[in-house]
Amino acid sequence: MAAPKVAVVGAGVIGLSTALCIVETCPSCSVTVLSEQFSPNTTGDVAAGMLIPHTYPGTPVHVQKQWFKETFTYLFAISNSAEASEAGIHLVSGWQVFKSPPKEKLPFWSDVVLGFRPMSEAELQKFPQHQFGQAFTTLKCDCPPYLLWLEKRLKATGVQMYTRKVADLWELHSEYDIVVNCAGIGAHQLVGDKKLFPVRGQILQVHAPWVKNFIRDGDGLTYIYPGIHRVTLGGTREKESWSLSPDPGTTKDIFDRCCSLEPSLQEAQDIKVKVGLRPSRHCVRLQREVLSQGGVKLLVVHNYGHGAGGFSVHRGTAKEAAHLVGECIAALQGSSSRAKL
Amino acid sequence: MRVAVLGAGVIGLSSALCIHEQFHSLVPSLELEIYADSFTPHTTSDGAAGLWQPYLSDRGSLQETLWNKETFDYLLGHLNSPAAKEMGLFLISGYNLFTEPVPDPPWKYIVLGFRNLTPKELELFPGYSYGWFNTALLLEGRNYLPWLTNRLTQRGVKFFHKKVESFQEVSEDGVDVVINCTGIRSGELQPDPELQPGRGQIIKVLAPWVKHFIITHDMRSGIYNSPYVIPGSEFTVLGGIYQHGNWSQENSAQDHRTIWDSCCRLLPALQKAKIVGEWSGLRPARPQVRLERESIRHGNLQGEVIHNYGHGGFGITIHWGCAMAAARLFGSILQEKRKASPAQPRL
Repeated sequence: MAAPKVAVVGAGVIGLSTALCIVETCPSCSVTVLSEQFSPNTTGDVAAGMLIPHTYPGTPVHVQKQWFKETFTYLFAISNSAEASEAGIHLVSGWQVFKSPPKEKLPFWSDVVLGFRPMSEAELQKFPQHQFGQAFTTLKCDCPPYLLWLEKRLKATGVQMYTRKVADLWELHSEYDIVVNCAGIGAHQLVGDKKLFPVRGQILQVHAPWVKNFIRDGDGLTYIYPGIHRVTLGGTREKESWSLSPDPGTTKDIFDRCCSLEPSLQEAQDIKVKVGLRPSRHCVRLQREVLSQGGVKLLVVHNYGHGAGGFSVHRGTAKEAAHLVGECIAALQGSSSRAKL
Repeated sequence: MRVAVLGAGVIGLSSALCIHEQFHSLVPSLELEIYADSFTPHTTSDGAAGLWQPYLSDRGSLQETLWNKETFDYLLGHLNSPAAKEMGLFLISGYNLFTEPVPDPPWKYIVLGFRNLTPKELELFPGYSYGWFNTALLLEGRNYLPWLTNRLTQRGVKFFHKKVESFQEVSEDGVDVVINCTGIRSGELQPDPELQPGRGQIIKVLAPWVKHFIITHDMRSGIYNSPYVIPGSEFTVLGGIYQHGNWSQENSAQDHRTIWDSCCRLLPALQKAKIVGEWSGLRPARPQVRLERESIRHGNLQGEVIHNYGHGGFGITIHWGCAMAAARLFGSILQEKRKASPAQPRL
């Protein structure tokens, strides 16, 4: 058959990284990215992009660990290269602190990040309300830079990108052989997935360049993540809230919580407030599907529902999605050769 | 009681503050004056990156290690205070890199979270096979010195922009005690062959993605003669020059190339960093810090001098411990003066 035509729906971190993996594994494919939004207006643009995994209850831990490891290894190499600053990837060290000791002292990812160890008594003194903590070094993907860098790499390989709101995957069946659904929270409407729900997160981005270490409360609600130019202060986890408008009361609450972890933030300047809807699901939907209407088939690969952990596993899930695209191509080639018989 | 502090770098200003804090309520007649020909931002302290880190070995001086510890603990205590940002004080983590295993430093229990590097971390630094990770403090001179100046001004301490030519000049003017914090040019007041310049040069760049300090060590070429990268709150300092005996404060093109090439090899992303400045300074190097009293006679006058100079490349690291020691020496001078003139109800 002629070069398979693949459409990737969604240009967030999942869509762009999946498109890149497809191009890498299938150089003969013609890949097009279609998305209603591009950076800086994707969900990932709001996220701090810290490589600290979220746990999906419905995915085996060894699979999550593999996804995280692949992502970490990939970004580690970029952070160590001349492209690091353009790609927005940098190492950051810090602490995860707990008010009461966690049940799980060694999370599944503790041997993937660098230098993971319990905090010493002396280190804990900086956090009088917390009794236990873990110190480690991990990576951060700053957005927009990382997404813009992915877009640049895609364009360099000849991938076309179009602003287009896809209302129904089926509308693509005549132009494309395979559709990869990386619509994130948009999948709720696009494919009617009722198992996908938003977890609203509000964050502040502030100018506080003296903050060089990350601090995260183990409850996942309060965190301080220093990016290249701004520090992200968070946050909230509001299930089933679809509101994208910043809430002023929440802003004050986030600021106060972060200042109690890091008092020098009182001097932070130029506070910007942002909201994102984490595309949450019991497990990431990473699977093939065949859509069929009137004898015509459309091969679909789903890769969405990464919730709070998109950045942490994006490359690992992108590679798996690219592998599924490979299976689709094999199926198409198989059926086209059968058709010729 | 007139006390003159000579020198307005980190040593002079902190000694003045420490003495004033401890004694102004005990000695109501205390008049503290600071004399210097250079003030912030033109002092040696202003050029330093400001990382708290002593040399790898204490050169046999446990005393200096104690002063370093006192300084670290003092600064750590200020970390969560509202003054921290204005002081230019913040926590920073980072790496010390070696080409061979080395003994742990005397300060391993002073800093936070000291540990050896893992093999995976060492992959970040080709050419280095051993290293440490720890969290320390950064105290930026360009913020700390103005902060000290403000505290002193609030306390009524007077500043004089003047180059003092001799201890005698100051004694003759009626000063009772001189605190000599003249750093690299102490030899002009009193010859000291042990005091030598340790010339350094640094390049200032914008590289805000660098969040760690990285100090490399070449055990053969000596301290600070191997690339280092230290991120500050506004720009990142690249360095790696230590030239013993070189008095030049001109930026050298060759040193620039050495610093740039070696730092870019260490951190390839630095190639994209924008250069915003360059500076050379003279570390006031000495086999050990000179922190002691001296009575100097000029004819009929006897002046007390407290020397506090020769802090090499670790002035910021050791400053508060030395300021406290200088204050203790000042206290002993006061004690002696009281004994000498018991008829006077107060000095």
